[in-house]
Amino acid sequence: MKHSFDEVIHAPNRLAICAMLSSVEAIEFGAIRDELGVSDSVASKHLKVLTDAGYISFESKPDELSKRPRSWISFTAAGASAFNDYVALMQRLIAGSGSIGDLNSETAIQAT
Amino acid sequence: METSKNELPVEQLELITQYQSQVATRIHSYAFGYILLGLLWAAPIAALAAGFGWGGFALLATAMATGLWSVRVTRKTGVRLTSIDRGSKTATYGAWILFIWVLSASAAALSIPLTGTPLIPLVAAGVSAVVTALMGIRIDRELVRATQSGEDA
Repeated sequence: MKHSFDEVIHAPNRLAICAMLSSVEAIEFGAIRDELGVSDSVASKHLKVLTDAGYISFESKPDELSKRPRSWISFTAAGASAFNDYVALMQRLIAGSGSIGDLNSETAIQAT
Repeated sequence: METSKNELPVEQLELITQYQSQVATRIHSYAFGYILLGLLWAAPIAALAAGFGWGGFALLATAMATGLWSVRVTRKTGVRLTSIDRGSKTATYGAWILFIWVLSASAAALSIPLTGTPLIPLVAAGVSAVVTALMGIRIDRELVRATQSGEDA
């Protein structure tokens, strides 16, 4: 049985973003950046990859007190589904339904 | 490069768990905060001891303070939670808070013209404060647990 990692989600920082989004409605950009411990530009880069894949959406809302715009990020239905599929794949791999051989840019793995 | 069979997926799942826990930590509030919330919402009930006017004024002030507190909390945590599932434990605890508050406020309001003593409003306020704090702590625990496990609350 062949399994393919979702390369968009697989990268550690993007996987972390997806994990954070998985159980909440939305997270503010600054919170994502702070939890990842990265700069604005690095966080933005990863969020752009997720946005281009259609996995997340941005909503800009003025802060209730300061009125400055704040960006809120949330999963799209496709993103939530892709993340759930990724988690299910990891769990199947641990349970032993497949094995990992060479990991290359195609990120294909083959069962023994 | 050969990777041991389970090493990568285990690492990935651990990373997921780690970051879900970090988000859960953001939304967690200490028990002291819920005690304060209990006292805040008990204030209008206790204020009925001084008369309906004071009760109404205290209710308005409490509602405004709660709104501001809610905005500040969301701002500080940077997290917007999903809607609460109606059948969930979180919803049940919230319903208890509301039920006891309405019961306490009603008992306090009815007691004033009947007894004229401030005792019943103060006791009712105390009961409401305790229930609000206890249920608030339980709600917090449920929200943290659900967030850590990636479930809906």
